[in-house]
Amino acid sequence: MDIIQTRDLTHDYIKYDEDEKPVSVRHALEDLDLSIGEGQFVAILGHNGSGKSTLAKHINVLLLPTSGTVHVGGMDTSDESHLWEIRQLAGMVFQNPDNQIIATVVEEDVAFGPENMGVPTEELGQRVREALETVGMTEFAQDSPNKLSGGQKQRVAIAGALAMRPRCIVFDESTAMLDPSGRSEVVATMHRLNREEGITILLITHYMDEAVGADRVIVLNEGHVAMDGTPKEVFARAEELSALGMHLPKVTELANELAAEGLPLPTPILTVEELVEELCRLR
Amino acid sequence: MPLTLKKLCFSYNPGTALEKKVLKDIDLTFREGEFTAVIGPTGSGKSTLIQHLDLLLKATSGDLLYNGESIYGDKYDKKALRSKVGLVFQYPEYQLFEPEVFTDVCFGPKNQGLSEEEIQAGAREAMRLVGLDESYDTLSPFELSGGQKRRVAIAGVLAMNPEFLVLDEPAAGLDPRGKKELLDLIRKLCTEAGKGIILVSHSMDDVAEYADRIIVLKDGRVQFDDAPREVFKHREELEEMGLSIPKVTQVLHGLKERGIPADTGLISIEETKEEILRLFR
Repeated sequence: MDIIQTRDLTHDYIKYDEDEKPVSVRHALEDLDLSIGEGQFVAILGHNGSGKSTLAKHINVLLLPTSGTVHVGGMDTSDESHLWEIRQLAGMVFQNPDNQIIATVVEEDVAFGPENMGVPTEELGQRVREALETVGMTEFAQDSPNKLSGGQKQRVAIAGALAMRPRCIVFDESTAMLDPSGRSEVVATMHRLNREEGITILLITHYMDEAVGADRVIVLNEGHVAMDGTPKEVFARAEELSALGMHLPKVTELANELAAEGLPLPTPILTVEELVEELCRLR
Repeated sequence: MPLTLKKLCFSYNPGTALEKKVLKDIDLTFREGEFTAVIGPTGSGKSTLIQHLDLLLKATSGDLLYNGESIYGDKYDKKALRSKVGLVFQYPEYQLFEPEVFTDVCFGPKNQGLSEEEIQAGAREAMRLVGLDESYDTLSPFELSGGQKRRVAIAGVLAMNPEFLVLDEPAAGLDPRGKKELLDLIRKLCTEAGKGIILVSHSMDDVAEYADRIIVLKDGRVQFDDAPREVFKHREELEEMGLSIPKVTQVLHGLKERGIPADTGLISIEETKEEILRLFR
């Protein structure tokens, strides 16, 4: 079943002058048709301004369509009676860990969402414990968030989303501000949630290496879907990607150059291990 | 003029039970025309280090010398030093505040007590260096793309005509094209305009490609200070710190582990390609 479905989704950002007359209109999304199956791990790529974050905000009902529809878990986002149900079902983790942690103790921060939903105290404790355990942050439950590293803070933010028992989590460039180990911590957490808990993951990123591990890669351009396929399918189209302002993962680029020099390598190759394996086969 | 750190230490709450040593005995020299990258895991002291270069923090002990002279002396003109060392913070576009691009770029030199003509000339030159022509002068910074906003913010610092440009993760959050354009620009400021570049980065692939020299900080100490090629030979130590080596170098290590005599001291795509072709053709 599709957990997210957009039909002819258009979103306009309209600029008004001082008299509140519209002066310009920018189509951030235009007639976007997208279906995301439950349990998929989907990476969304695209240059700045291609519509990635606008799409993310529609899934969490932070924005409503200018025209067209968005269904999350079968519910229409423009039907206000579903608002809280949709937000519970589709969690979101943003870019800057410091902007989304509000409590002074880790476990209180994780409890914030479900507490506001009216989850009874006993169950609340249970949910917080489980969420922190899932992201590997149990030992920090009583700590102050400002003592944590960036990667740890993002894992707390993920635990906060998890405590809502979502079926889908949207990560809007959640690794952009992290160091390499923080990034791999957070990416590993996403994959575990997907594999073990069956949570649908939408990963918006500028790191091509992060898209390599997804089930499906969608490239947005000017509010349209420019490419949509498995990582192998998408990264095989190097020239189109480059025209869209994207580049290939470094390893893929190296493998392509080797193939161009006549080494019989299958293309595209996406990971270090894969390239080493294929090269050893040539011996 | 060189900028030298001598046995520089910095602590929060020095001399108290809560003392936290962030920088420990740092000995370093930065030179003009050199592209230095500073890498290290979160909490290793990178940001604290660069805040010393612009006098936002003062060393607890040790010294900081500009052209051989201690800048901590009572009579030292600290304001003059600030115009020699330009600091570009993370997400510098948040610091743009004027309604028009050109006036924003003029803000720094305006505070240096220059004549109106000098201010304008400095700002114009800075805009030229970052590749923004006069058509941008009267635009609102908010109408620009992320990469363009960062160029304006960098121009605002360059307008003071610094000898050193210190940048904290300048490409964070930019898309691949914006990131490449910005790093190419910074390289050009080093090579063509002779600025000393001190760049904090989390991307090993980027520093391998752009830097002349890499300083690795660990727990407030300088762990390595060498050419990229030499630094990335320390694969295990780097990985232990939560850092990594460039992807292409990982491929060479992978081959070596499988018994193929690959040279693991290479860091660029071009030289890695040649090495693999030599081994497999």
